[in-house]
Amino acid sequence: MGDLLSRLEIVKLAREVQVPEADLEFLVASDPTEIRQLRAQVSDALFARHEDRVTRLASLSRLLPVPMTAKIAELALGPMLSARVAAALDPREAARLAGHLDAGFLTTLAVSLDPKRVAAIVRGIDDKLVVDVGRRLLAKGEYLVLSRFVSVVDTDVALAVVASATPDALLQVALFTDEPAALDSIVARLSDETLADIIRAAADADAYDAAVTLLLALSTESCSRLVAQVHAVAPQARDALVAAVAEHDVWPAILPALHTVEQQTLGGLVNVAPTMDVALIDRVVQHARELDVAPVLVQMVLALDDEHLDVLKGSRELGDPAVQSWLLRNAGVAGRLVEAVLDNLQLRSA
Amino acid sequence: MGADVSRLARRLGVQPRGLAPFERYDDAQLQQLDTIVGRAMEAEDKAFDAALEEALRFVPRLLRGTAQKLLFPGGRRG
Repeated sequence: MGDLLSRLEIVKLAREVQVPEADLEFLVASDPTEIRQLRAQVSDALFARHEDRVTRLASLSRLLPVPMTAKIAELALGPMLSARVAAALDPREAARLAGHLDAGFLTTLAVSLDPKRVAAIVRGIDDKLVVDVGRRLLAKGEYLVLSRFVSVVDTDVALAVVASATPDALLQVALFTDEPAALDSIVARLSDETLADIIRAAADADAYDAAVTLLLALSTESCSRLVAQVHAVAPQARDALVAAVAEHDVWPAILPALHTVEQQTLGGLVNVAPTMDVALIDRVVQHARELDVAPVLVQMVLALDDEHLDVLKGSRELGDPAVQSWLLRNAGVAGRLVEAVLDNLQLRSA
Repeated sequence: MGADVSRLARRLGVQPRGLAPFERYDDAQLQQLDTIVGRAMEAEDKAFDAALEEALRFVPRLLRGTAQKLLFPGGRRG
């Protein structure tokens, strides 16, 4: 998963220093958190370097009437420097100034804003204006910028912005979002149909790593809702999704979320080509035991078709007496049922 | 700590150990990173210098002296 996350961080860093992403491609060998930290260091250094100039320009704005300051921002400073100066203004003053700026200019300015420095300002701006600017950013494909504001704006405002977003745009915004909790509160309010559209968009774009990254960022409950929508995609797409989960070995994040998935949907997830591999089955069993989610493992086994059950017969993990004992104790169903399943699979140890 | 990591650390105003993970990169890559950050800083320097001059043009004549002292406490260049 590291590669994709590192690439996402490279996109953000490239935006910060205004170079094409290709110029920073070599950083893909770094852990995503290292690149994120570097971006924060660069951002702080740029801010500190111009703090004196920014303070002077902010002082000028206090000397002049708001409409004149707005004119200076639009005609003399431009969006990038105005974004820097905004961070040094009193939040109420800045919110008042925003009301005098053209929405198109604010949209360009938002691209250079550092949300963590201007959170108080954004919260002071009229919601209608924030939604208007957000939708303009969406129309311009500024998904990275939108993602940075997810944690700053109210959930209702964020939902109003993305109401007209395409599923692909939603996926992109979600991927770039740094704040899983904020993202989760938005996903919690999206309909099942929209979540199905997001899964479909990932499948259409062959973006299974992206889909897995999104699953990892969500709470167990939201992850469960998203996984439950896999029926929306073709069997080949389910194959690819499970293959991506297996390749990145992110079962620990996925398994707990399967607990509330309906048996029929679960069948669509577990009866896929990648699970015909007994090594993958053993890995899932190991994770399930480490996570102590025996009921999930039982649900998965009960959802398997005959072809997959045949593969299960070769599972070294399920044949392990210690694993069987753990299953019997923790499956959450009658021991006789577990014993019957193991007998059927000819795995029951003496 | 390598010289290139130390140079980047100086430019960013951080302790070299804060950039320790980037020691894995070769000198040319670290040089490239340092150059990119340096150019971003210089680009903003120029943009701010020009903006301070330009901002003054929009200040009404009556306030221009006060604004000039505010924007250029050390006096204007050029």
